[in-house]
Amino acid sequence: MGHVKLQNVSKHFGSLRAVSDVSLDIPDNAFVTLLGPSGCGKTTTLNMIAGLEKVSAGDIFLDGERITDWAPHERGMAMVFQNYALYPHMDVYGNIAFSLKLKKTPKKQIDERVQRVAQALEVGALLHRRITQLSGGQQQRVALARAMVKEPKVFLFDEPLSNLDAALRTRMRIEIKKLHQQLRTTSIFVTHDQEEAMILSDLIAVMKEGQIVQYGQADEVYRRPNHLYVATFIGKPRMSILEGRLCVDARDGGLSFVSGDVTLNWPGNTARQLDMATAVHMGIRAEDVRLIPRGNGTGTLTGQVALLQPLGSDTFIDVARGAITVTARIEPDRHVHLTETVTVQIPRHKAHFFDAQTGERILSLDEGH
Amino acid sequence: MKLRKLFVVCADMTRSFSALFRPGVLYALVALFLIWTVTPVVWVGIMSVQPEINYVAVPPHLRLQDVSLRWYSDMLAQADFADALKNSVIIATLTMVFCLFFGSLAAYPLSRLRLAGKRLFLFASVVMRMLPAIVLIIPMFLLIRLLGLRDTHLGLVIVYTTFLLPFSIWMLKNFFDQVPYSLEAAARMDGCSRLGALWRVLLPAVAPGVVATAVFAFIGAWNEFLFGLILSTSVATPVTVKISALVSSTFHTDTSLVAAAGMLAILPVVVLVIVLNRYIVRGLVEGVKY
Repeated sequence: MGHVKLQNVSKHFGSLRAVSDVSLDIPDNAFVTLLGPSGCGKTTTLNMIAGLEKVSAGDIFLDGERITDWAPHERGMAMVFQNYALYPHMDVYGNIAFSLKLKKTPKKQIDERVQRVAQALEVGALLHRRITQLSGGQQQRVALARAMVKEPKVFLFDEPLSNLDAALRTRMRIEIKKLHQQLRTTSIFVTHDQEEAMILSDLIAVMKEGQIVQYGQADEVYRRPNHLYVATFIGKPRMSILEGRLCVDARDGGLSFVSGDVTLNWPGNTARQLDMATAVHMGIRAEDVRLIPRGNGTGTLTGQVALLQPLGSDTFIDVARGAITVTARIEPDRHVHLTETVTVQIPRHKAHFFDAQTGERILSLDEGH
Repeated sequence: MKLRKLFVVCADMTRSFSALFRPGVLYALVALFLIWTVTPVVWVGIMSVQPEINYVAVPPHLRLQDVSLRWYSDMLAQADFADALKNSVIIATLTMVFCLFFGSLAAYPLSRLRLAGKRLFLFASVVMRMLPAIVLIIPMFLLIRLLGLRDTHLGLVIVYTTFLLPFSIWMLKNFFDQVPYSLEAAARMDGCSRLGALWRVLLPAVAPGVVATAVFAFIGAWNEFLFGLILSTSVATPVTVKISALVSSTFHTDTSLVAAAGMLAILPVVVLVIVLNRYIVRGLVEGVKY
């Protein structure tokens, strides 16, 4: 009961195109994240779904009904804001009960529902406090309670964790995840934090400059980014990008990547024929790069350790050769030191190739595997 | 806008002027200014509780046992003076209400909506205030007479509102600006219309600002003299006009009576300011930003 569909939705403010032709199908019960940097149109999109902004073009559907022109409160949605947006002149109880009061719900019912929700979010003891007396975490929980009490069909989250410190953020993330697991209400979450998106979401829509670049399952967006933009936005540490040329050996179907004096060769039977040598950006994630004993092999690169990032559970090293830098993940007890010469191996089926000009994926990962 | 730069420069100059002096010197200057401003009022206060012979003499010999409130009661017993006080209260209150009502209705779109010509509107409304009031006397008089509102409370309220509304709009807009839009967004999600969100959420959130604006409007209306003089004759005379009539009339020769009248005229406003002091300061500090 919370299937949201956007069809060719656009929003422009004068000459500024904030959202361009966005189509999105959000299945019932799904946790969907709109991910992107500031100004990419994700909050505007969310506001249009909520009814706080009018669409310039396109339609929005909820469970098959066209809600494009409906007022915000008619849509059965609840929103949680970045700065909590709690009413300062009311106490916690008043804040949570506000929507019910406006609907003229009987007092007993209001009390019942408010108490239930307050207990669930552990703010029951704070019901008669003033908002200004609460901490950031408590305020956010009250904001969640205010949304929950409406028993909405869709939850909308506008960067709700951005104002919290790191520890609180992690905790609240877990609470939101648990909430979704419990209630299974369709949730649409806006954030610029890709880690948050990965942890919380079933589906991620990566946005750039008002458009959706990729929309899919979280792990698919991670493992199979269809654009350079998505590949570098998602994943920590950032995917290593190498600029160079890609060509297929006509005789044996082997794949070669050349950049400067670095050549990576992979044998195999690449079915696709590439016209000459195509200028590409090659991407590889740190966890897919392996440190191997010195030597040559398929897809190997030898360079010097330029940076060490020990994280405790993993260590990330930057291996540099000329203009190329590749980040590799190594075991924490494997000790390397700066300027040491090492060899890394990049497996063929983990490498991503993007057209240097358009940024779009060129080679399918399982082609020629 | 050049005007904005001018204001910024003046503000900077004021700040650096104060910085030139050591704190002690600054306090001394402020004390001097206070003495200059407050002494006349204090003196009138003294005059209002002493018989005339005591303070007319040089040097004045004030006697504690002569202190009496009889001039106050005498003054209040006079029907026309009591009426004048009542008129001022009615007019100032109504003006305050009008300024708040129309002011918030104007300040809301100025603060929240994307419109063309916002800056121009605000600029124009401030500039209008710089016009010397006396220039407007004749046109206002003709207009009010045309409307048949001469010597009525409503007539004065309308005229006073025209002066005080622009400033009220400015103040309220600045207060609204400080409230993040997400507050109204939350209200709209909860079921308010835009206007409902203004009334139930935004205004309460800026309650101190509303009080500050209300007080400014009230005081502005209470102190108004010129238009009160020209536009009223007998029924709707505010107390400011009544006092001047007392001073210049030959009917009363008892100065203490006039002094009492003067103190009564400023009493409501003084009480208001004392009670709402915090909000007024807030209004001055936060209310006027460029």
